[in-house]
Amino acid sequence: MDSARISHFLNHLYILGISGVLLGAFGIQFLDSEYPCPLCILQRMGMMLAASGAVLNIVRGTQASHFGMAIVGALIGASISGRQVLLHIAPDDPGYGNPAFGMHLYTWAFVVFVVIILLCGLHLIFDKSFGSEAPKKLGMLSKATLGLFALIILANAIAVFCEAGFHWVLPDNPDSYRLFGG
Amino acid sequence: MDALIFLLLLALTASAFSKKKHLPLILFFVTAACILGLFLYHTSDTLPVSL
Repeated sequence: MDSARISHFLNHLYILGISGVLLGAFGIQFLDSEYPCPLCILQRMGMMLAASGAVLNIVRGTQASHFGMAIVGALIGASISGRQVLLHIAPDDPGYGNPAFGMHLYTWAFVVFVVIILLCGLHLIFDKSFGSEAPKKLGMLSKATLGLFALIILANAIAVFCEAGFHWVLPDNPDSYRLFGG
Repeated sequence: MDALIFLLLLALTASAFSKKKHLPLILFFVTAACILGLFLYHTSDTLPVSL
């Protein structure tokens, strides 16, 4: 398998990984009836921003600028999640929401952003396919991956609209879906 | 505001298919600026601005 094909495959894996994390957060939101706070929503946006680099790699071919976009997106997300970690770092602070696998979601988000930056760095070091042309026609797997990612973004837009209602910003500690009069 | 930023992210994803070469980059920076702006809004009450 040549470098371009491996890179193409890894970009799919990268988007599917981030989609899995976002779906997990969505699952906790609805199955555990948790209301995501404004910083949680901003971290989801950071993950999507970081994934946009991989989307461009798949559709337009591998370019260093796309990895730059992913790193900038991950740095923004890491700043937000790091900020939330620091908000709850004091002893005896229960944190926001219930922990998942031993850590709160914002701590996991920070780990995810650091891993994204690390993977982008490794990809930039070892990938030899820069400047390669994108496939003329996207395959079924690519269409399904990009479709799933777009669907997750749309679902988040609808969910956050339900949570915020017709207000410009979310409350600091949301406790209802304000669109439905909560 | 949050929902609008998600729609910007959706537009950024869709712009990958656009013929315009620089559209994704422009949308990326606009979206990043919006996210950072909203982050600063939610953080401003606890920033040590008096320093």
